[in-house]
Amino acid sequence: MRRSFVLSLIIFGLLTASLVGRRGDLLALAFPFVVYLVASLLLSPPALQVHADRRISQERVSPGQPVDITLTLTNQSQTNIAELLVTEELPGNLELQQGALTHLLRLPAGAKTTWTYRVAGLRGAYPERAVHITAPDPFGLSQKIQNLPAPGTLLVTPRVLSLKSIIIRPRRTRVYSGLIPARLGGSGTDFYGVRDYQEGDPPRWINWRASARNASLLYSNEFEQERVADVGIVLDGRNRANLVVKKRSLFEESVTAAASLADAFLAQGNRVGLLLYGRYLSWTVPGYGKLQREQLLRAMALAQPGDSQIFADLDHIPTRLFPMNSQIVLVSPLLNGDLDILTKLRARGYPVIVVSPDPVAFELRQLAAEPANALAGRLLQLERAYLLQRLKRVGIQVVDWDVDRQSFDSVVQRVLGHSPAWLRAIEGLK
Amino acid sequence: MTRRLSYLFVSINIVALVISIAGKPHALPLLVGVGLIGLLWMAAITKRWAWANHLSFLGLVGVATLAMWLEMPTVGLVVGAGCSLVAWDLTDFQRRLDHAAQDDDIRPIEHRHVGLIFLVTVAGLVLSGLALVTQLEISFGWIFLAGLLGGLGLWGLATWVDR
Repeated sequence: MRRSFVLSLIIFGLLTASLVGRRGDLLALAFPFVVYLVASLLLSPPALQVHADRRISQERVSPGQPVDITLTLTNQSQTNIAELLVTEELPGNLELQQGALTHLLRLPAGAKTTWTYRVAGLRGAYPERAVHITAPDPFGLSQKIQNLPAPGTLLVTPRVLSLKSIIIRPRRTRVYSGLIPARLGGSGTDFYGVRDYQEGDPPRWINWRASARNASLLYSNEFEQERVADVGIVLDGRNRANLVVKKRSLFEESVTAAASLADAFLAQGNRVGLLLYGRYLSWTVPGYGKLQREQLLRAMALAQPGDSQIFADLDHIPTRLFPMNSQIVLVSPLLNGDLDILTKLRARGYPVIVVSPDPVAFELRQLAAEPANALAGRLLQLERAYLLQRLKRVGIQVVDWDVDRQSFDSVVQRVLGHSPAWLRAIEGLK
Repeated sequence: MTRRLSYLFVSINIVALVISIAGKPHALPLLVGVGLIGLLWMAAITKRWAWANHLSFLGLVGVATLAMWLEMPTVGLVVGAGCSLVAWDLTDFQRRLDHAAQDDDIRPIEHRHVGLIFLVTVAGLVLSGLALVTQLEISFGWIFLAGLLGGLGLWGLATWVDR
């Protein structure tokens, strides 16, 4: 109930009673209320001219890392604000750790006031939020409300794990030197073959043993060139594939994996792009270096799982975004229907790595230890093992990751820390 | 401070009404009403019930009006109504103060508000008292002019206090 309504009701009632009963004393009883109402109207604050400035100690942090936010309010008008209620709202994923979000203060003309509070939060981008200010009249019957724009965006990037070298062997590499063997002779470290000596070859390249067999010609060693490659990371954001059990989402683990892989590939000098495949397609154009790392982390900070009828299956991965024969890394818990599209990608010549957080183990661990659950879990594990086996058979490298039991870096090191099995077999034949 | 003053003014209000009503015809139902509403108001202050604050305010002013209608002594009823106004205002003000953070300096805000509400209530009571004592028969135009001048005077006074 509004206070002005209550007061008006009383004044109106007393006036009516005094008129009906022709009683001056009832009219006299209304005087204190009338005076209160008039004073409230006369003393109501003028238009607010308040400026808000928000400073964030770090605009880009990791999940859970505390951030100090300092808010400064300046009264730019010539009149005192006797009572000012200042309120800020925190988005759901940010948590207040220290300080307060609501303040009641007096702000004289031209004066400034500043306070600091500390927040920490989960992955996400938290754009600038308005500061709500309310200045009531002295008796709170009316109030002036304003939302002040206060700049300051906080970005909580996903966790990035430090991965040791990941060995990938895409068929096509780029022209710049890097760490990936390019299947081309030239300068490098690994022996690649023998060719005729050419002017300018360093003497230490001459293969004396081969040259000794021929009296007129000299032969030089050739080394395998090492170059950078194109890597396309596809982050599966389909709600169907990403379980949420007891407010914990498997998608967060996928994001951590994608961020760590992107960081590792960029550290090797590769050109990395990111495709978020979920409610819609979000494509981060491939690039190199630290700037690209920031862009990818920003994209992953914003990534949210979602549903779409069109992107319910992986069939709509736009392969044109990825250069022919470039490395594709799919981070997905996988659904049974995903086998066909992955097989097609492999058949088109893309080397594919699938990093798959295990949804069955993830869900099973959150459920009660009942025989029915255990049996269902076993059936699902068999189904998943069969799917992964079929992926491996078509030449796809699979990283099966039990998110609760295994650290991501150890799993990646075990599976991707050495050459893929098919390549080792070819190298063995050589 | 504000909460204690709220309790105080509810108590003064109840005492003023009881003194005016007690021993007069039809007193018992009114006294019971005053007691019950007073208890509700005390609970409203303690539990921070905004709705009960409004209801109690309406209730005690209603009782004062009814008592005046029944021609019970006027002075205590007017004082009671004035105290109701102060208690109602301070209870709501306390609700606004509850939004303050621990390190906010709310004492100047409190002092200013309490000063203003006392001033306004005393002005209102003086006007009521004058109206009850003088009982002039004047035309509507004069009443309007007096009200306007009174309002302007009050505004000037309150602005001076605010500075």
